[in-house]
Amino acid sequence: MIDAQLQSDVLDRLEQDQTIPDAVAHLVLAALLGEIEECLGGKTMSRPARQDKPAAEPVRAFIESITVEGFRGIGPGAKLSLRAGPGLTLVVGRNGSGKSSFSEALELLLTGENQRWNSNRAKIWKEGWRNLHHPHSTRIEAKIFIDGRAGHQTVTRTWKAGDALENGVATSALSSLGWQEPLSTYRPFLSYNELGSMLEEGPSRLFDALASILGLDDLLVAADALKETRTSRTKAHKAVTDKLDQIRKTLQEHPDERAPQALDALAGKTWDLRRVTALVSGDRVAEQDTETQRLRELANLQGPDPAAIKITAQALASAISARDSVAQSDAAKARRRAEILEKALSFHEHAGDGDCPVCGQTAALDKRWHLEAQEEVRKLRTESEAVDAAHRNLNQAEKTARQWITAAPKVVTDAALLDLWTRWKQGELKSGAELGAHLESLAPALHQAVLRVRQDAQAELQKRQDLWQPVAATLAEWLPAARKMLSERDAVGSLKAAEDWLRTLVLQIQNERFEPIKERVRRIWEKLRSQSHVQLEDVSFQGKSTARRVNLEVTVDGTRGAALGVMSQGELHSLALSLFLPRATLESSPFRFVIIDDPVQSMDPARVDGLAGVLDLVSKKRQVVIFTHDDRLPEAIRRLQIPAHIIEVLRRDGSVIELREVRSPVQQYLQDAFSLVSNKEIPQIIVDRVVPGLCRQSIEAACIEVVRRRLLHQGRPHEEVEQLLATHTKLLPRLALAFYDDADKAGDVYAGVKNRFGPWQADTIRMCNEGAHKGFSGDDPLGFVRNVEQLTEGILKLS
Amino acid sequence: MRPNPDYSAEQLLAAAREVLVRADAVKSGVWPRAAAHLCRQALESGLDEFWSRRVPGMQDLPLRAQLLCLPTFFNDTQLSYTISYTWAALSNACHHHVYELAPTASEIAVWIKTVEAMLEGFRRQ
Repeated sequence: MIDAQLQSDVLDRLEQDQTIPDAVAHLVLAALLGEIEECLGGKTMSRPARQDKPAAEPVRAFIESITVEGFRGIGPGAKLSLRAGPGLTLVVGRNGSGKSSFSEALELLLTGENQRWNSNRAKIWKEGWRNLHHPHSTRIEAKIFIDGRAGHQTVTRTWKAGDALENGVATSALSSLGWQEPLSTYRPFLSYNELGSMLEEGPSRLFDALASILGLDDLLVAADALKETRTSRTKAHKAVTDKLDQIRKTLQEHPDERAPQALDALAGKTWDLRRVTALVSGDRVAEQDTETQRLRELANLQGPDPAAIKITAQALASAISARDSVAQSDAAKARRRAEILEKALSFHEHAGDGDCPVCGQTAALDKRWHLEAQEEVRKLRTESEAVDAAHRNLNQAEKTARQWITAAPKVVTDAALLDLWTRWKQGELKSGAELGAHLESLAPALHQAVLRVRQDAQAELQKRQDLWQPVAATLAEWLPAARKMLSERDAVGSLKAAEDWLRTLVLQIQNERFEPIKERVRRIWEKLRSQSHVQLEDVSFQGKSTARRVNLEVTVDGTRGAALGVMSQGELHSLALSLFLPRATLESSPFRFVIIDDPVQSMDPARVDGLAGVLDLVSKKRQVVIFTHDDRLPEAIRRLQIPAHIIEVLRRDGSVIELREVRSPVQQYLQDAFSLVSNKEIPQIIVDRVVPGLCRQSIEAACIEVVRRRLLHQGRPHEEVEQLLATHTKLLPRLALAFYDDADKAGDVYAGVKNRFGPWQADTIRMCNEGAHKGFSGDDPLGFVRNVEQLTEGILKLS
Repeated sequence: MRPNPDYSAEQLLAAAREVLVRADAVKSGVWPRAAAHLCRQALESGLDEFWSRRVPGMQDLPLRAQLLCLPTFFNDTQLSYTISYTWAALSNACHHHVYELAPTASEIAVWIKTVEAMLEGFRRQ
């Protein structure tokens, strides 16, 4: 999680910014809280409560020793012991002596990787990481002293035979130190390669390397998260519109009547997704589709039911035959006769017995007649009623039959069916047996035709559903993403604005925080630049994202220029060192050590003096370990009387590494000579033949030391002094330079020695020169070396 | 005063090899320079013997002159040049030079090999 102090600072600035839109401000806050998605999802962002926790005090770690076995130039285990505290240590060894293996091993041990892995030659480096003389196992161990804690922490990383470089196993102590992040932020390792590449590997790399010390990485992570979200949204939105293009194409060619409606809903940039949803799933909308509606009606088309019609026809037929059976009797005549008789009976009741009032037959109406007539009326009435019933039944049967005869529903358009149905309809006008025959003859055909049309319609409906189904499914799948996109229509713009705001702020804070470091950079550059005309005016962070860069503003003799353009290789290295030493030695870093591998490679002698001064300054409060391949830096350190430990690395056959603390060359040669003459075990041939040579080298070294010191003190340029010393490589001219500032006075040297140091020392000089070739002659080699020691002391005292 | 014993080139070369492996020499760190001194003297002494057999008097000339003449009298011309170069390197290693560190083990190994080949060549001729 982001540092509370920093977060609070950013949020204050966010609140003070009146120009930032709310949506954007919310996104910035969400990014800092790691809740961008939630914010986009509608969650209300609120500022977390202030926390005023003081920053934890960093631990202060020093390196006590580095032990390496089977790695790079180191075969059997070799231990580089250091003084675990502030101070300067130089590890001096020829190229290939294995010295760099120590610094690389320490970096590998602590970080799990090495800067060289990222270089162009990474492959070669990765393949050759094991020591050829010691391929079985590799082990790197460092003892780390942490200020204020008793004892030391031992961290190791080991590889078995065949393990790949990246598969080394580290002890748990390493992870418990919690150094992973500080290691990349403060990076206490600097190598020549890195110094060279840092300024050349592109401006953004330098920016990142420097920016990381300012502790704003978390803000950049938040900005990156905003960017990532935006990119993923843009991508998702593109996917939605791409898909829509496809859907539109499908819809344009689709036969379904819903297709044009869907197209209409999806036109333009703001889509009617509610309508689209209805088209995909709702039947209600589908009913407005007349063709489908027609098909649905046809699919449900009902015709006459042949079975029912058969029953109807049978009923009709029996009604007809019932009527036919009463066809001979005249129901009307019978009813009229009955009416006449009823009237006659009525007359008889009023008039009493008498003649017939109609035909006049005498005494026709009497009691007997009355009874017979009454019986006749009853008979006649019954007869006429049967006939009426038969007629009524027939009427009813016909009516029922005709009920079957309906017009064709409007929806029917099928010609054959219509034709049949028209004929069927004509049956309306028929009656009796004709009607029955009509029904019975046409119903099956009509039924068949209806069935056919109905099935066709059903099939068509199904077909339509089958065709629409995939479109509906595609739309259904597309809809959620489309809905999300519409709901976040402004998200992409806001995300961009939030990211920009944050990055601008990062830049601003970067420059604010870099201000005090800048001063240190300038101070170091001032020391390192020596005679360089390049003056470092300003270092600032500029640009964002891919355009980010560190602006190095310099002036050359007062004229402004871009640093990278006007500087030499050596100057660039010095500049890189100026930039990175302050980073590696920040107070907030847990590392109280800085390991620098070969910083002097492309430095001229004057700049080496500057470097020595810088290292002196840094080593007051830090453990500074410098690996170097020649004696330039040690020489400057000794000459400037900077306190330092100098360790020489020698590598013998079989990658056996020897480390020994050495003093100045003068003392070292003498010490070597003493060790030979005082060791009784050493064969005489070795003593005889080696000691005079070592003694001569010791005197030569003393001459060089005194000449260099004197001439530099006189203000002679470094280059001139080095040139002079390199020209005269023999003992006598060097003594002449030491005595007379004149190499040509080599002939006067013996006299000079006699005068200055006593006559016997002239013999010492002679023995050095001759003995270096022919061997020592004499009885007292120890006395000889003592004389040489005295002589060198005398020479070193010359002003 | 003890006279300066006259070691043969072979003895000197053997001493150079010995110093590389002697525990006491190794421990003191003196071995690279000691080996260089012995190796150079083996070379010079070998040359000396060669001249006294082949061209007496030549050994009194400066080393540079001797080496210049070597291809004329020694039948291995290529080796003559290598000897010349090796002597320059050895001579360099036997003086103190500004900023230079002691020779490396691999440099010394090459020098010893060259002197070995030289002595062998001289013996054959």
